[in-house]
Amino acid sequence: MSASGGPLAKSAYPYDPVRVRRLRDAAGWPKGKRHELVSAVAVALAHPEDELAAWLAVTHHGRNRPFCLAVEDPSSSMVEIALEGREDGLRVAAGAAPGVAEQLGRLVVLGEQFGPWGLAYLEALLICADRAVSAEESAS
Amino acid sequence: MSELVLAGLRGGSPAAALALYGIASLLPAGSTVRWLEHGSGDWVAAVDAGAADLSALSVVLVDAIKADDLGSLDEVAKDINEVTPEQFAVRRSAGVHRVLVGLAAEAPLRPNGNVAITPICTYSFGTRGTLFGNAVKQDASLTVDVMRRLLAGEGREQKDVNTLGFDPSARRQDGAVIGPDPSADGVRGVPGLVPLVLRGLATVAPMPGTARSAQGGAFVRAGSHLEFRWPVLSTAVRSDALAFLVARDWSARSAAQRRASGVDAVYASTVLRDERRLAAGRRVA
Repeated sequence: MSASGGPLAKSAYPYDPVRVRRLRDAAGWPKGKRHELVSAVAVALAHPEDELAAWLAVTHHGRNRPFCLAVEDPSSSMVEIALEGREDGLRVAAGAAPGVAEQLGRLVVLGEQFGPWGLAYLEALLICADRAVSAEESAS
Repeated sequence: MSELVLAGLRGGSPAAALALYGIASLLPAGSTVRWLEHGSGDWVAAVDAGAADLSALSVVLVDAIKADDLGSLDEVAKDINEVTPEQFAVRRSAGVHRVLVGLAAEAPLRPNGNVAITPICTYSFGTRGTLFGNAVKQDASLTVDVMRRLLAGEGREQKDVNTLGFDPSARRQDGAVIGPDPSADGVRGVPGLVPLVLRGLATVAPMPGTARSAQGGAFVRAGSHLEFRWPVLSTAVRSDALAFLVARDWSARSAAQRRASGVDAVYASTVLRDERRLAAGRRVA
């Protein structure tokens, strides 16, 4: 959620590139920046013991593995993120992203735990679930 | 925090980069490595392995190298073209495996049923004769003091210490020929460097190309030459994750991507086939 209460990650409208660009410019969101980076930082803050959750949050669109896609974001504004099971919102810098040491550390630990294919399977599973939910929301 | 500065390993040297990769492959889990800026445009390696000082770190590294029994590699070295698949499999202990991965781009089965271990240096430098023998010899002569002096930057070039063409700063020992290391015998190298470099090469082991030239990952085609390229990263990363960072060409990434990934600079060293060695490092990004 943004500080003003609007959703940042999901849209209630069908995809429209013109509208997306207009909203992105209005929000000051850099072109190409992935919202998953901010989400992953929030998940890591809320659940520091859960390396898998933070990894899946940042990689489940098939990007950012292991290096986060770099997009310059000079913004110093904060975004408030609502996480299920947590009453208070988390405030995270809009330009936040997992560091390279964090990403590589998670890749090694999770790779040992699940194996490279097992980890890729979990990422695929999450994006399938994400798409299914988005499809349901669009339909309704 | 017990980060130790390795003044003997400078970021602009291909041998130092490979040596740092070798160190990372030998360190215990939880260790981190990085490069620290040292003066203007220069870097030195830094390691946090829980060791109190360079002597303690040297003990850790030498113990790990000695535990890598390269004695069986010496057997392979006797005739690298006449190794049966069974011998090859048996001899691939952890240590031997690591060195072979670094040295040999491939091990094809020959028509006579034996395995031809083709050292990467055959592709790159055109040498093979004493390659494995030199690797074993330098492992055997390694001591804690030699390692400590190398890491501290106190190592001195000595006669008959072959660098296998990996150290551009090495010189031929014949006073009449003052030139760079041609990778042949009769080279004055710094003791202790090759055991680390060979293990580090395994981290960025290139794949053979179709034209008998090894490339891929950190080995990049640049015009008619092949280059070894390495990133200088100032962010401390886990030693066991280093391969994910260094086995790729960072000069091909955007400056923003390099910054976000902790890569401060990228250096390149041309593989000089005719001279059978690596050229001095130069900054490319």
